[in-house]
Amino acid sequence: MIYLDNGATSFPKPRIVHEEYERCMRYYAANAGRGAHKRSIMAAEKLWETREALGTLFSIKTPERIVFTPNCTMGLNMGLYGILKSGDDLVISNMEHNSVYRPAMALSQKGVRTLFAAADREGIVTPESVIRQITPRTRLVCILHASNVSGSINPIRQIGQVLRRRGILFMVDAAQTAGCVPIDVEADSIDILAFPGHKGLLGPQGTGGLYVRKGIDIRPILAGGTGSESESAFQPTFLPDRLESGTQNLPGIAGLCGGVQYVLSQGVDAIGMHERRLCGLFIDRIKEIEGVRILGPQNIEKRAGIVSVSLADHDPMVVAQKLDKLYDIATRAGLHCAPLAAKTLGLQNGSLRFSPGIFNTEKDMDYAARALISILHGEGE
Amino acid sequence: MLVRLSSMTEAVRLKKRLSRENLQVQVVQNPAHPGKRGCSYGLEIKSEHLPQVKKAAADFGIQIMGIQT
Repeated sequence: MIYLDNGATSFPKPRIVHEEYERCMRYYAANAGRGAHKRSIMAAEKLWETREALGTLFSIKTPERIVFTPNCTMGLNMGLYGILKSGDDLVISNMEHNSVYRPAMALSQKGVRTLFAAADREGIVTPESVIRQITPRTRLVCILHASNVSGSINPIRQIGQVLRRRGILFMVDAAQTAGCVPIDVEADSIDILAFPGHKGLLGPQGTGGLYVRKGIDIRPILAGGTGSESESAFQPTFLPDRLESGTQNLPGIAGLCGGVQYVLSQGVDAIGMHERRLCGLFIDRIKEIEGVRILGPQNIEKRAGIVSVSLADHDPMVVAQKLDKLYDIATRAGLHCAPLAAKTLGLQNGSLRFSPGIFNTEKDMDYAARALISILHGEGE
Repeated sequence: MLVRLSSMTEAVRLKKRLSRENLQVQVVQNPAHPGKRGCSYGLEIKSEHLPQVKKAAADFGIQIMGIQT
């Protein structure tokens, strides 16, 4: 099987992820912060180690402000619901995933107005287009670091600097960039960072995180047991406990720790370069095919490891199915849970996405290109 | 000597920092204390290490909730 759906979740995982997961399950999968026996302390130490590893990755000097979440979507919801209140304005882009668009629309029922910063024809959101949407009531700007449809990487550093000068909170959706595009929360002026553990960080599904800069309080959307201040009827005021109620996915987080350590050992820049190179090779093979429109930036340096194509004469879902059945190539087709992006990019019936990862090779991309060409020329009719 | 903290996260964070300074401490669940019935965690330390523990806690912005001998 050639797996080119890393945009959905990365596969396979490095061995260390399996080993960490299994070691946890076998030896210390007790509940951290509930009791103080040896295994619960080992569990707590693994959680802390993972926070520190994530801190190293994102240049976060306060790892206690990294909160574990089951995925990026939960982190984004926590940020949006936890910051915004009736009367606030929210700015998002017109390329956002439903994990931002849907809660934004739900919040509009509660008096939060959402304004849309327009992406350019390559799917890139510029600081100027964000500034154009800012009002005196703008409380939060939430922008995806890279589009899961077009692969376009947004200039979050410039956007962050503009917003920091204006005192507007900046949340970044790092779903497609954590682990493969450098992120430095200080240099990028990021106030809130949401990321999945199971894509570029190579961890298991059911993991993710939310970083909240010191000085920012997010209202918890979940309340419950934290293993701290339990005599109080209210959530603790300090992180991570304030935003981490209930039992954590410890085996998953142990696996995530392994994934992050693997990413750090390979280097985020090297991983990103590898994925972009594979995308570039693939684009070179398919760009001349009639009826195929390659979405996103022409400059490969502005692209995360994603190549989506719109097909003039074929249903992308049918092509994806043929790639799977005839060639054992895993891709994704459709709207990619991003109807906003589909509309912005002018996609009538969605797109077909190829998203290579760290373990894909040039041979994989060459094979996928040849397979796509054959199918578009009638194979499997 | 017991240094009372709030959470397990604080306790393991301090423990790790102190171990880098070659101080071995033990994470414990704090015994019940007047006015504090709920869960909290702390570090069992040797009394002569208290100044180092206090400094480490201060460096991290961790509030020491109490000290019990």
